[in-house]
Amino acid sequence: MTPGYSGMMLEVDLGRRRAESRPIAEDVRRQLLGGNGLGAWALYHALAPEVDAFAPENPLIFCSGPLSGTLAPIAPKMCAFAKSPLTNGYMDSISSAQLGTELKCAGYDLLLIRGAADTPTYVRIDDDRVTFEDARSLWGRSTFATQEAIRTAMGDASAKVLAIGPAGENRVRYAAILGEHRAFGGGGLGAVMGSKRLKAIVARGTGVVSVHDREGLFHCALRFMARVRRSRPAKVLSSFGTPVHTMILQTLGGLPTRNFQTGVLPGAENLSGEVMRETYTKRVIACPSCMTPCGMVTQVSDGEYGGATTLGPEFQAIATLGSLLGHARLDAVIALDRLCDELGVGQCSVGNVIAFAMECRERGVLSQADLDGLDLHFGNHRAAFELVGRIARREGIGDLLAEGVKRASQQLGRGTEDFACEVKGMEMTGFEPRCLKSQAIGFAVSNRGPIHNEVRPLAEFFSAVDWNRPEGVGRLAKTLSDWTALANCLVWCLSAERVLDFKPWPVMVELVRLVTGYDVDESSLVTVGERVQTIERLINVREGLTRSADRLPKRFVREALPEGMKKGVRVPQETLDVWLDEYYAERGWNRDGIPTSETIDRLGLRALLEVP
Amino acid sequence: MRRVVADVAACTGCGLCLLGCSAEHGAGFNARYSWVKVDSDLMGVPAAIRFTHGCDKAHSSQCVCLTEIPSCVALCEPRALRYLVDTEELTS
Repeated sequence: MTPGYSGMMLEVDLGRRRAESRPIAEDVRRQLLGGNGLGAWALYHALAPEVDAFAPENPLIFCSGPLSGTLAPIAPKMCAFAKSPLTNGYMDSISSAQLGTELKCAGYDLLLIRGAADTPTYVRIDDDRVTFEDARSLWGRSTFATQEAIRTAMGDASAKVLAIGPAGENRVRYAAILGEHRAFGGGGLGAVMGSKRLKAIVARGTGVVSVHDREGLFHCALRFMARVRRSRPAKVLSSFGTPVHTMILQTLGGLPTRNFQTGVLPGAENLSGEVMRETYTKRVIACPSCMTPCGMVTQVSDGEYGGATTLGPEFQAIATLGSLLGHARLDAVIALDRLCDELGVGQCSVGNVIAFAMECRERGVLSQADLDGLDLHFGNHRAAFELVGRIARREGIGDLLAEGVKRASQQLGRGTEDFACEVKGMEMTGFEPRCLKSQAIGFAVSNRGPIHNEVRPLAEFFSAVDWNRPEGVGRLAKTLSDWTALANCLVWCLSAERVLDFKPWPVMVELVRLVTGYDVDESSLVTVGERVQTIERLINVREGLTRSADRLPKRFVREALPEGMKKGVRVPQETLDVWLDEYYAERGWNRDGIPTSETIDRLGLRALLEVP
Repeated sequence: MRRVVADVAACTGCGLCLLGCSAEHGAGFNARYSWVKVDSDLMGVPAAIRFTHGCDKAHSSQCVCLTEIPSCVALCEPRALRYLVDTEELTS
């Protein structure tokens, strides 16, 4: 067995109530490393084309990375995969939930769940013993209450649980899965879990994770610590968390506001990292094994949201549950953040959905009667709070909105597609793509949908590319998204890595060598990233998602930003087309965004994917 | 007298101490086998730090093979764990 891995995967069939483990070939680990790569590979094999996302045949996959559970000081995360009920394509979601490491200690690098249970069930993995437990009494309960109840039933506070809330049970298409207070928020994987009547997964692992060179890893961690202590970006992150971005974006004119009608929010300073720290932050905590703590434990002391407490909100929540809804009330964002986590609702999507509904109301497409009497308008955070609950329960208008922006817009018609902000059916994350061009191309080309971390949002300030010219952008996007894919294979943190000053490769190479013993170098790791991007794309191609799906919402193509530093800027389709041509060419995909036969051979995917 | 002292208020809950300790006293990494215990709530906020083998009373230097201070202390970025020799702090 290779150090860093257990070398096994566990396959659970909920319908037949059976579980079996089998080895993962050494060659698969070596070529894909883990996390993003391993999960995409498993999804490629386990998912038959054109299966409905809510059908029992849609596999739900979880996995850790080689660095998980070791001293690697930057890799706290794990990944989840399935066909997305939003995009009907490839989806992965990444979280700092601790189940991944626990599974590894139980003997599994990857957990694959097939089928659906007849009645609400949770799966209990106690090392090599897998049982199917009755979850009927847990159905309807919050993600947190469920985790607490299962840990109590397990009689072990250190057992790790993933759970869905009412939103997942009700197949809200953007439902989340929670592990501790950490969410797999994007892409609706909680709804896939709900469609399987799988309320939770609990694991306890008593084995250990071994590494190739423990002493070397220990000293690498100490060097990393010295670097953290000198790092100004680390200090900023630990002081203000990701909400430090609020005022950066506001200054650039790219803080998503009122359903992306503008990039400037009056009073945005009330959503800043500084205000959060001074008024609401009680404690700063870290993800597992992370030396750059940025998790803000916040609490509202008084007012209408008095008593609300949460881990966060992260900048993405501030943007999508705050500025996008046209308000600058951080106490409301804290309460919304908590509510979404309890109900198991994906924050970015639900913020977008509510913003879309607010614009529908503003334009007279939805009346107050359509909204069951709710006085929904930009700035009304109270109504947003109420609406989140109705969506999770699919009550009244919540039933339509639970379908997501794209499907809601298709049902409503009446020109709503002009301001339906989605790509591939998935809602946007919180960086304005007209302001940050890295986001514009990233939102379009990402196999997952419009996710801020595919092409890094701050990359344009650290790159030599002239973003005002279309040439060079596609090439840079390819480089950055390879880096993203590799980081997600390890499964390393895209926030904490700012300690490395945008030069992560040497540390990536060092950590992979120390943990696994694989003789990797920078170029072989880039190839891993290329492989992963291409496997994801092949899954999408199989589902019919090609160039026409790599687009931007009409709003960003047609409407220019009306104010702020980037006033007058939009992303014309001609520009996007030049970017796409270059991006595909760099990847060895054809003009339709389909990987060529030569590329499949060059990356060694023919054997890995058993492509004829 | 050598001992480890803990300040839970400074702890970020990262758990690197647990992993470092578990590898010192077992075959590999698993926080379950650590002699240091950090009690946290579901959110991950540390409430107490405990020592199952009396390292906070009299540390017998079983785990100083990699540096001259115990792994749990060496790996604690926020300095929530410190190593005292009599009253003097030992750092790497």
